[in-house]
Amino acid sequence: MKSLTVAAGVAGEICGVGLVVAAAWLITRAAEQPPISALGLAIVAVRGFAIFRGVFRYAERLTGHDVALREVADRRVEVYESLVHQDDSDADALKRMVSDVDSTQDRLLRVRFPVTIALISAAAAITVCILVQPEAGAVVAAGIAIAATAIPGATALAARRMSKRKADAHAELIARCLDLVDGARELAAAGATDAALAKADQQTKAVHRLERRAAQIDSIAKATAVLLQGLTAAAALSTTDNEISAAVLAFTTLAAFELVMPLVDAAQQHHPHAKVHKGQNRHVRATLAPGATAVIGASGAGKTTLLATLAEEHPEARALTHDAHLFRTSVRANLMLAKPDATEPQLHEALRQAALRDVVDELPDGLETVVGEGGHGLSGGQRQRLLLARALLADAPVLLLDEPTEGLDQELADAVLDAVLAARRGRITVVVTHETRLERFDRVVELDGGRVVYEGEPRCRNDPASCSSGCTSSPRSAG
Amino acid sequence: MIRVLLLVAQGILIVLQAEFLARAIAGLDPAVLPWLCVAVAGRALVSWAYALHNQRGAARIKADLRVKLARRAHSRPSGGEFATLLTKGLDALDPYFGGYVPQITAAAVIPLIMLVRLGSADLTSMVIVLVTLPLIPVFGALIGLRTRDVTERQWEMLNHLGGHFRDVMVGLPTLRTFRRTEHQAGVIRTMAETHRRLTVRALRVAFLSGLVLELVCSLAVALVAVPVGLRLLEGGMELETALVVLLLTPEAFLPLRALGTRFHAAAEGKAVLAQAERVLAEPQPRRTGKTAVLGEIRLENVTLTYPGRSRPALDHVSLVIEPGERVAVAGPSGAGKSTLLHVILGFVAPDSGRVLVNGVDLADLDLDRWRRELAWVPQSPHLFATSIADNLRLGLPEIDDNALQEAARAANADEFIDDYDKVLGERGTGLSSGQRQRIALARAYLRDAPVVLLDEPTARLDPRSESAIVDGAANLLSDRTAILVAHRPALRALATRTVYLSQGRT
Repeated sequence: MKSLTVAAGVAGEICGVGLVVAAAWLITRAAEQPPISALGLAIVAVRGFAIFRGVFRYAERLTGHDVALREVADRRVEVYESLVHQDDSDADALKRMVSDVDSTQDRLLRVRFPVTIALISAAAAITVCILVQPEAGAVVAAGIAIAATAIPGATALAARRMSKRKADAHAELIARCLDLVDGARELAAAGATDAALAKADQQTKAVHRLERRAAQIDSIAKATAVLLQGLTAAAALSTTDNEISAAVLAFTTLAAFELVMPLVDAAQQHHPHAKVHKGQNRHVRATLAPGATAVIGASGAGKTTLLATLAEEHPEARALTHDAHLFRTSVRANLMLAKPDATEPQLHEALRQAALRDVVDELPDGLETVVGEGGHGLSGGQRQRLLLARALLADAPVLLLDEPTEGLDQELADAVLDAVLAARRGRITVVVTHETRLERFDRVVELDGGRVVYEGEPRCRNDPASCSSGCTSSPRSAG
Repeated sequence: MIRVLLLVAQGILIVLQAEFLARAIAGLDPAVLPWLCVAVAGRALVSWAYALHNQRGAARIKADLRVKLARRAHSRPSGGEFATLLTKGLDALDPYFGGYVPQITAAAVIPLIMLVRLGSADLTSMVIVLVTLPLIPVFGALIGLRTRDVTERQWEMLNHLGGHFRDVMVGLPTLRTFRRTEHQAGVIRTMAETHRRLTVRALRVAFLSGLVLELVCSLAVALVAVPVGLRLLEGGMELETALVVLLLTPEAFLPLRALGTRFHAAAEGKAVLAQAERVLAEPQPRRTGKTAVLGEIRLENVTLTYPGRSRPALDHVSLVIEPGERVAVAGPSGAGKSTLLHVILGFVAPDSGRVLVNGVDLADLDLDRWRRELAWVPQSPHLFATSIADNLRLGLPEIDDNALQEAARAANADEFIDDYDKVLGERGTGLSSGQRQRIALARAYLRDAPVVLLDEPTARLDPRSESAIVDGAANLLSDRTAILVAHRPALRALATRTVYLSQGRT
């Protein structure tokens, strides 16, 4: 398939070069006023090349896209399969992977195919020159070699260095923008908006300076190619004392350069290869106990890590984590992910427990409403409850919930948490929470700095002396 | 203007190069070769200046837009989206202003010069070119119209299929959680295959315009070359003239063809430009007004409904805060507590009713100056991607290190700051919510403003962080006027009285 694209591309380019060269031959030969039969073949060639050039180009573009999209499909499956068994890929890394894989298409269509086609076609043009006049062929070969390798190579090198610096400058500008938008009110309240704008302007100037340098590199490269093209043509035609040879050499040289001149643009394209990123896991250990366990602790104490460890150690566990994702499909399909054989009543029960039934009833298509990115907009609280309903529907022997009521107001949060704990009675449920009403849990695990500092009944936590069992260590005083 | 001049120079040099080349071939005259080289050098020089002028022009437009857009940052809903617009988004203007827009001028200037020279060399050839040239835009437009309907219909479908992989990848942790990863590889394959099939089907039609364009350009060369050859055969034409015609004919078509290929690359830039212009067209808030003289803060029947909401966030709220008072505002989430603070800060203006500062309407005040009297600790403070010290002295660059450390101590923030020069990540990553709150408290401390506005700084914190914040807040509030949005009793205890808000009413 790939060779078909290249073949069609080369054929198209050869038709393009052939058209002008055949026309040049036709004209110079005609000037010698031979019998018209001597021109017959050239006339046919000119017309044929004119028609087939477009046809071949069309075939090249169409098959090229087909090949590129096939390759993207392969890469997607490959990347997916390599990532499925890694537990530690964060959302940003995943998004990066997606764009890396999708740039496979650009890499093929904008770099690999055009470069291959241009080089093969240029080689064919050089061959024509060598056949006409070997010395001229050598000159043209040298000129083309510079235009096809040295100029794009040098440009690529400079562009790569520049794009690295530009990426840094952009990252800095992004940070300034985020500060300006997300911190707009703080800046206004502190009277610091102008200072922040000045900093952003400074960064804009830095980006502008880099862009001016990049423009210089690009325009010098292009002008050099134009210079080289004209000079090589002049040199090539000066090697012969035959008008027809001179015409063929000059026109072939000019056309051959047109083939390789766009390589400067391809050289400035930068498409990073998809890499599988690996992070590392910390481990926080705690044992599972029947009933409802609250995991508490300051931010960064290791609560989320504890859940991850538990999920890993207990394959039967299902979890609602911070990176839980709502797929761009119906509410029903999003729920059924947790339990593919769920019945209608089970779906409604899960929605009821998450206090979401009324919300779903009001959606335009009820359970069939498409949600997720690009779908029907749910509020943050509704989204969170839908994720919770899905986790509940899984009906797992072990359920791990990371701040399940985050983003809900206090009353709703209380009601939802009570409903969840009631529904889960008799099974193992671990809830990471900032709630202060811990008495509704059977057990509390408190973490600090990645260590369990308390493990036992909620009522014993504030008064360890009255309880003799359950504590792994005495809780530290707050403050 | 410079662009047109450069293009005219380029056109003339193209003609000169063709003349010298034709003479070098036709007469095999070596004397003309130096002239040919001069023309080539001139052409290279002009093409350098032309490319540089266009690309730098695009860079300048982008820089101007960045500066202007930055001034609209405060009214943008999403920082991430805005940052993307200012970086990658505006980069799409390069092919638009650096490629497409200059190409429009080129497509007008260069063919004209070629036609003039062709006309003086050989009228028949000129007529052929003149007749075929308009076919390019005509066919381009006709096929473009035809394919637009087809592609627009398929676009949404293609987008959906193309987005599936991203959706699955971002949802991978979720699939893993529910042990549903096995079948997805097959689904990805099927979706990608369908995407490919439909895309190629759409392209079959879309690429037709390219095919027609190529065909017109090539056939024009053939249409010119063959009759010229036959006339040479009859001795009705000079070889030199014939070569000039053959060299210049493709040059007449080149700019129009390039315009066609640049059209698609420019579409994205056009969309970005429209987006930027929409942002810039939004009205700007006023920045001047009377100077505030501190006194009582009085809210009179303040009512405010956010756009797109049916229920008002504040509903006829009246409230007087005397100097020295510390008023706690309590009530369920969504009751309008934060909005109340935002109204006092001047971030939002009431739809009806007014806010009076010592008898002067807030709407008439110089907001920048009024805010100097206020220290505000928001519910989830934004930390800036700069050093901790700069975060603390936000808006007060002259504060010295001793004062910084003192403020950090007072806000109980000193215990986790080991290096004041440490640069925070984007949006202040690396600090917990409790730590952020304490930084914001220290910030408020440094402002040393007579009025303090605290917006539920302990809402989502664990008890330990909460008590650290409450201690810090107690230090801050002594001897100052304050409004505390407080849900929990520990913070409310710092107030001299409590106001209850529910559904936007007191």
